[in-house]
Amino acid sequence: MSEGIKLTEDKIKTLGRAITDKADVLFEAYSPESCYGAVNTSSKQYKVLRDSGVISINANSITLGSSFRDILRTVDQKSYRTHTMPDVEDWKQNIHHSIQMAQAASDSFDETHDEMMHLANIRDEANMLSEALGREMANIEYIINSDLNNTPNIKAKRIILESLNKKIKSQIQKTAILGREELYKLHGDYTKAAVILDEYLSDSIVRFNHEMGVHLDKTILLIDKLKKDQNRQNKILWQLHKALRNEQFIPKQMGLELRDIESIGLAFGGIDVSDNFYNIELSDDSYLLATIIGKLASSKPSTKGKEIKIYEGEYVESADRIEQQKPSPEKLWVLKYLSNNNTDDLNKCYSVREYWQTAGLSHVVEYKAFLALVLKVCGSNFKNDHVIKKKDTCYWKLYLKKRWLSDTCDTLYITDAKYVRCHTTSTEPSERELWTPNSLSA
Amino acid sequence: MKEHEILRMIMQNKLICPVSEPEAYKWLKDSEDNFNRISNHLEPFGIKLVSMCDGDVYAGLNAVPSESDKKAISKQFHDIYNNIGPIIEMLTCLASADENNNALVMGDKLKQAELVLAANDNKHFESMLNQVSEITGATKKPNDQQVEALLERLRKHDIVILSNSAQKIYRVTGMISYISQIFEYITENLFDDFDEEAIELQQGLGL
Repeated sequence: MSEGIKLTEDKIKTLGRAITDKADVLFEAYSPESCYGAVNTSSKQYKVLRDSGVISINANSITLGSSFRDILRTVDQKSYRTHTMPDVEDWKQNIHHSIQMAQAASDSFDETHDEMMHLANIRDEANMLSEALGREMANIEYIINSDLNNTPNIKAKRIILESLNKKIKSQIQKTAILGREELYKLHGDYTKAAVILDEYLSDSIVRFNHEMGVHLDKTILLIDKLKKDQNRQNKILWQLHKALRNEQFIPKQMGLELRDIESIGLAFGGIDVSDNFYNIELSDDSYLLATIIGKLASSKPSTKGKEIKIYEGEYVESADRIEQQKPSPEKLWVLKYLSNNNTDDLNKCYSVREYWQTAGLSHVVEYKAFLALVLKVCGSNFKNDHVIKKKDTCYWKLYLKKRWLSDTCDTLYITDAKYVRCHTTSTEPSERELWTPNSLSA
Repeated sequence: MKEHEILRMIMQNKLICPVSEPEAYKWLKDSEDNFNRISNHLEPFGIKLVSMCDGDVYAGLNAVPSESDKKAISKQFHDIYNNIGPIIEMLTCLASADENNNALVMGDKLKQAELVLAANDNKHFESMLNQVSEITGATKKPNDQQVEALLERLRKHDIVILSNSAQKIYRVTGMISYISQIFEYITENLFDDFDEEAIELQQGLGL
């Protein structure tokens, strides 16, 4: 198409720059409400725009030139086309018109440039139609993947599918006028147009028809399935209703065990969570605290008031407790911690945080949850240090590392704790001794 | 959606469905990673995140239940099951308000005002409403009060939620899918034959 170039590069670029620089003026001139009057039109760029037919400079205003209005109209149409279903008949007519023009120009020796221009139009039209079909496919896929999936109601799903079904059928009917035979009728033996249509449009139409066919089958299947589901639900409900009325079915006569309920996929819950929350700052981890405390509460021995017995590194539960159930996995974490600290050597004692960091628990439980678990198992009131157990000259004590959240807030913030075995014959460890980081974990 | 909020719902034995907990449900459904994250959080506590009723609802299941936990799961099921008679009556009543006698499904909207109008226009529905008034405690009350009592009773069973209190619009939750599966189980196991033709004849005839 180089035959058509008559303007120099400089002229094209000068026009382009003038349009860019005066974009605000062009917009004002385009807006129906505004009138661009008070402007100095003596600059060179205004002259370029006027000479190119982009604008007309009048006595008191600037208006858009008719050729530039045509360009804007084309832009507007293109924008419209991108947002609406492609009107295939309209596109076909446009292509047909361009083919006729190109063919007419090709017959004339003087109009090579015009033929190229019309062939370029055919290419653009074919391209745009191909893009429009692609967008239509994307739209339909979007409806299937998004609208349908995001609609929980099967009745609404059915409405969406039925409307989609109609839309697809209509599109398939429309593109039928762009079959190979129909396209041949458009270009006949004019091979230049045939090549363009083949390259830019034929594949898109074949792909579009194929995809639409697949989607159509899918929508028909889904509509059918939804209809059957709804019918089945209706029938079951009415049958049960009839059976109830005829006393053929008395619900309370039926007994189902947990395994039956599980086998039919209807078992859920069974999670016993205590409503008791403790005065401990846990921010977003509070659910874990609630969970653990709940589980512990549910597995608490029925022998209320009995103390946890800790002897020589072993956690010994009362006989009746053992008969009832084994400690939960969560409780075992705590028992292992207590067992680890059951030593006279304070240097070998871990704080809860140190133990949590070194015993691999950080991967399975949040720190704050584990801390709360230790406090709960040790029977802490979440406020003060306390002696858990005494035996002879030995006693086991849980120390809390705590601080108030602020001077004005009465929330006690427990940051750590340490389970320590002490002797009545020796002095208690000092704060510094207690909370100096353990050399083993440092 | 904050993960802890979802975990809290699960720990409270709640069903998470797109109607009652749309954000939580979408968060779990849209990403396998999200589902796995919650599953991983629950795993140390012996709780499994389960998808039920063809994916209509998510819930937690105590996978290592103690005896009392087992009883709690069974009780939860039997609480619904033992109320299945009244539930069937109420759902059939509402189905009769629909011109096609369609059973309620998850996501259905129930507008109280429209149901009152339907009761005034549709003798069959009105008669069914009167019959369930013993269950809803609205015996011999006018239609509007009977409709209100019916919807409130369904709300107590978590079958509907009040989605717009000003306009009294209720929406059917995923609990209906759970109940429908119980219905299916009963139908398949308690009845020798599933007489579809007879049922078609019964629908809408004011049994």
